[in-house]
Amino acid sequence: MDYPLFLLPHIGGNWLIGATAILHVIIAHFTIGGGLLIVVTEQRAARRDDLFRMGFFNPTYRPSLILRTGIALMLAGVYGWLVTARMPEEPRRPALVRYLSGWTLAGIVLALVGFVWWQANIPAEARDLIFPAGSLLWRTFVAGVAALALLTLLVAIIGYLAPRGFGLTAGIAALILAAIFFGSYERIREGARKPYVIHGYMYSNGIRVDEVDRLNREGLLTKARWAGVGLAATPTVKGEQVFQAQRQMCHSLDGYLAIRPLVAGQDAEGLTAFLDALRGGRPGMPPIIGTEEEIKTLAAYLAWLGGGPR
Amino acid sequence: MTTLQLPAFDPAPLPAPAWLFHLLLVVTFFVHVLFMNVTLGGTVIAALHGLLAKSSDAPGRRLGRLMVGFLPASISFTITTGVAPLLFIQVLYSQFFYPATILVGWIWLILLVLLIAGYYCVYLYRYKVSARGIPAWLAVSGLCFLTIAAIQTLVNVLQLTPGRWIAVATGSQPAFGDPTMLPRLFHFILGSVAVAGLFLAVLAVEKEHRMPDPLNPWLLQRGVSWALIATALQVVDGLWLLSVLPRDAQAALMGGRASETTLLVSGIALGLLTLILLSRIMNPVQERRLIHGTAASLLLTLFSMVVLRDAARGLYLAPFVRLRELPARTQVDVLVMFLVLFVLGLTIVGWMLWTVARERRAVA
Repeated sequence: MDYPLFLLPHIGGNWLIGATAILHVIIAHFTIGGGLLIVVTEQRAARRDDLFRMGFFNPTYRPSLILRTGIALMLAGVYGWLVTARMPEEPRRPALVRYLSGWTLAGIVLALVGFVWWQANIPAEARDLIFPAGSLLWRTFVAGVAALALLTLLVAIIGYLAPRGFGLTAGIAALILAAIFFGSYERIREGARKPYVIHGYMYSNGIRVDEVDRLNREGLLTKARWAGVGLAATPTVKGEQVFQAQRQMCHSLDGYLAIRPLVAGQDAEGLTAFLDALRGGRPGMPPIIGTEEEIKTLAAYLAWLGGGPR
Repeated sequence: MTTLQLPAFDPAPLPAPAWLFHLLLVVTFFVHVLFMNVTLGGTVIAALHGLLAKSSDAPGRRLGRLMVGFLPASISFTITTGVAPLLFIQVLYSQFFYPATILVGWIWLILLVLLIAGYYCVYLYRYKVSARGIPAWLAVSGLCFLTIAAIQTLVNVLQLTPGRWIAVATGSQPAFGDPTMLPRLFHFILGSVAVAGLFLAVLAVEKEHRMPDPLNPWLLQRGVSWALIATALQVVDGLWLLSVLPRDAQAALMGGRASETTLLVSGIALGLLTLILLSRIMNPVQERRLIHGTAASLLLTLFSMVVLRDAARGLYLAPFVRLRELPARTQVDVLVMFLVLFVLGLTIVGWMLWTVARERRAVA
């Protein structure tokens, strides 16, 4: 017995599978649309009083649905290529390859339409994180567009112009390109939410907007209940805890959005002044939060991290 | 002091009353445990018989081939039905469950690797290595699934004992250093072997009824024996587990609180009933109804044990949280949509299984 779904197409279940899959996408977009996507565009979601309507009718629900449906078709088409490439050659193979290419191209068109529609409905701050050259998500955007263009070329050429070029290499290349586009879109969608997770309600480090004043007064570490457990209470260690509690969700030390190069050679006083200036936040980044003393320990930690003044 | 490290409850209230999530948690966990038992116990039983078999046509090897026919489906259902209780526990007990998974983060993540490896080995046994299958692959699957059981037990014990978290985090106490860890793990493994044993027995008696085959009486005998031995050991293990529970939980279960005590007593009574029924199966091929009755009794036992386990969790966490006091604000429209989809989904799965079963019977 195989997984029972595999047997269904043979006994008349294809329409049911299709309908179930489509319903699944619609509902999945409601749940993430209601909980996450929506919040880029609608603060009202955080109040949760109109979640049902907003889950389905927020400005990015339909664009995302179109976009992800396109991606699904695209993935199905290129995966079909991969499967076909591994099957023994037979006379009907070119027709199958062309058929699958059609689905992939349809997916590409849908995804493109969905993406253009989606970006028109996100706030200007979010667009500013994606499109201006050099912005936070610019390179991801370029990679995604390039992958989509290459995939279109590949599928059009091999599917319609030069079917003899079809083989395992083409299948794998198509799958990789589709995955790069898919990954780029998801990365952009996530990244464009910065500095919030829920627009106007919760920052990307998990701190709620309505908590900021209290945490500035009473201390950020009152929220981080595990901070300092089993560690010595030196300023550098405490500063590291402050760093982990509000910055480490986005910044690594040496890799992604690396902190060490930014603070290399700086002293604690200079860093304190710099951090104080960041209490207002900057595009794509939540404000620095904490008491004066916590900011000083954070500066001490960062100065230590950067090796101090040279 | 122990409450100090408890994360805050989600700032958003529950979108439905806590009792509904609680009910769904228990019911979906029961369904998950059913499939899990067939997967885990079935793999272990088939692997052992496969390794002991002397020729590739011996019944032990035929059992392996029968089992890998089932496993892709039963593993899938174990995973799918496992997601539901995982979500419900995160809704109700995220303050406990989440820190527990973080404390043993790498171990928790390795679970996924083991799951993939165990799943893949089933396919290796079935297709790749040879047409007849090499039982070692099934044994590797079994080891993967047993390790997953240990990881699940580890995280579940850890979430019940926030008082140990600091010690575990600072390394002064091993994460698995709780006296209930081993008896709990054995409880799950023995239960799985018992359920899988009886599942195979029911399968064999039904097959024999329709189309006699020398494998069936052999499998029937082995299935009943596995169930009998595992259930007998389960009684010993259950007493062990009871004896190492925290004092408060023990007192509540043994007369201190009426509802918890009733659950324990009925669970033990059902377990003993199953044991008696199992021991009365002398000539299994002729005793189809007795086997069905025993299976029903075992299912009831399992359900009562799942409820008892939930009650025990309530006792453990009583000092920290009471479900009915969690903030909730029901979103009727979302709730209605959820329930409609829930029923629709179950109907589709039911239709699918029914159609496939009918088709297969027609082919046979």
